[in-house]
Amino acid sequence: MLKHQQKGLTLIEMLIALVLSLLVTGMVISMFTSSIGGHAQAIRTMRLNQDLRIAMDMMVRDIRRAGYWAGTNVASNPHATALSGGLPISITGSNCVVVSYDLDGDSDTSVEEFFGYRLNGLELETTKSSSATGTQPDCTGTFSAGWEDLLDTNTVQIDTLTFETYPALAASFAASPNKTVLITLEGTSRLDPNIKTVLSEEVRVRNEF
Amino acid sequence: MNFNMTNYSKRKQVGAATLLVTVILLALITLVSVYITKLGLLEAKTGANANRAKEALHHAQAGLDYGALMYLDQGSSFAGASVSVAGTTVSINTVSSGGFFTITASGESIDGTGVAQVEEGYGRFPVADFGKLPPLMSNGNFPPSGSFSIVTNPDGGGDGVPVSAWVEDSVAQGVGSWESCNWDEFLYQGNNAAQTKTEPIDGFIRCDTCECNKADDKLCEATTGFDPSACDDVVKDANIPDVFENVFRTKAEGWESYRDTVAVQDVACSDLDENVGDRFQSGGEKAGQLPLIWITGDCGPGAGEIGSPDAPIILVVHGDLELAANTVFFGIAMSFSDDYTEVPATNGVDGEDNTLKVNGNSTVYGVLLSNKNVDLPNGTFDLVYSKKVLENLAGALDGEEFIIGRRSGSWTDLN
Repeated sequence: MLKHQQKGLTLIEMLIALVLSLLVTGMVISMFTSSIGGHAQAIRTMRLNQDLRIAMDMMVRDIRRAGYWAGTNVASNPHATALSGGLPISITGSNCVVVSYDLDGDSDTSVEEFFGYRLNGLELETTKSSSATGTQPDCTGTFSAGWEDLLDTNTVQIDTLTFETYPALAASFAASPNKTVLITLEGTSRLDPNIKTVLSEEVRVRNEF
Repeated sequence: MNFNMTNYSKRKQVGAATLLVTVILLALITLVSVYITKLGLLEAKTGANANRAKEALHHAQAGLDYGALMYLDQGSSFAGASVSVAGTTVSINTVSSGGFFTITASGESIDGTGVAQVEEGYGRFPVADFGKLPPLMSNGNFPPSGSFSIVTNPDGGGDGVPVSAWVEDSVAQGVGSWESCNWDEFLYQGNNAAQTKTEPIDGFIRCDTCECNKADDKLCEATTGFDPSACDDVVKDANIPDVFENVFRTKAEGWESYRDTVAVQDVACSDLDENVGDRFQSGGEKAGQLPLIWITGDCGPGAGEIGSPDAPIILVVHGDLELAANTVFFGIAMSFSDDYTEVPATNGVDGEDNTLKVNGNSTVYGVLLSNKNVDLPNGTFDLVYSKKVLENLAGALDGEEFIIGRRSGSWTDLN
């Protein structure tokens, strides 16, 4: 009787049970992997978005306050004509911007530092260079000459960075009383080339000269 | 019974492995999902933060703009305020020092968690300034020929320094015979003494037939081949300021908004007569406004009087302005050329090139302006700087019309 009881399952029973288990396990595993994949994509998207947003925010703020000087005599403002073109903001080749302002608000009559952003290849680079040498950052300068990466080069690739000046109808950007810069920033995640983000923002240069 | 139990138990054990694996995987998925949800929330929070920062900045900027308008309206007696912007409170503080008025505005985001502060300095001026204008000012040539009289502004270059013309360029005269002289010489010296004059009205004396030529003493007398800038009272200045900016104290690129804000544009060229300035006087429909009439397109009013000594006008013609022979004009006449917005200036070649032309036997009591060239006639013509007429121009304002200017380079969000 006991022997008969230990006989076990028939092969057919066993196979059916295994197949059913496999099906269930397989479904769960595929759910798991697709969920993990989806989550990974979400993380990369967020990371790209945040990186680009931070970069955009920095550029917008710097451009908006370009030309600020804490001193009282307008004619002594060193930032008004600090850059080529005689403005506190200089755009070269539509993808490099350099601005100048009184960061520490000490009314120094010499320019203490310049702030720059540019697209170099597929990287967004920035500089906060001292003007001790009296020259503004060179937009075509090499990486080691004061420029550094603003974002993680392993995860973010910048496809487009443009600075367009408005109004287009004025005799020149320098002559226009309302200077507006349209910044377009487009990036791709290096971890997943299918993830792309485009940000664009219009910023008015508040300090007019 | 036992058989059935054992058999059932073995089946159950196969399912248990599946269940275990499934439960572990589901637990993992749940953990990952929770993590991702947290990240997502963080992302949403960061985005919302950026948004709130922008809200706060825009509210603060709105406060700054409001403060600037109040300063325009009330002058430095405006002591700051708390205003409501989109349901939030923006506090505006003011400090007046060094001739500037610094306005600081602090704004919050709608939920009150974002705060921004912006600051900017402003100055406040009368809409126009006529005190130091010379009788003739142009961003072009001194008229290269013609025979005319210019009565100088005795204080045009500072107290006691007469200036008759302030021009960007001057060329030697072809056949030219013009003179400049002082007001007294113009009225009373030599043959001028015999000319018909009106009775003095509030210090203004009109003499349409007087000429510097008839006076004994002249400030400057041109002869053939004479370079006008050889005269002390003709200032040739390659760096002359833009005429429009000098008179109206506003960036020339913003002339359109100045025109639309300050000028009267419903007067046609054919309506220019001796009564045209009356509407700006006390009791008129535009009383208290700057008597600035802006006409777009070429304008050549017929002979006769335009404006009057009591009610002079500022006439800006965006086009060619030609005063006919025998015209008597009271006030400031300007021919305006848009070099600023219409056609980009390249290589020194500018967009519009409108001319101010005055024909013979005319008299202008006031000032002629052009941000291009001036063409004066061969016939006799008097350009008489009259302090009284210019005072009457500004007098119409009752000191009430101001513009404010931003102090360049003073806007900051760093504090």
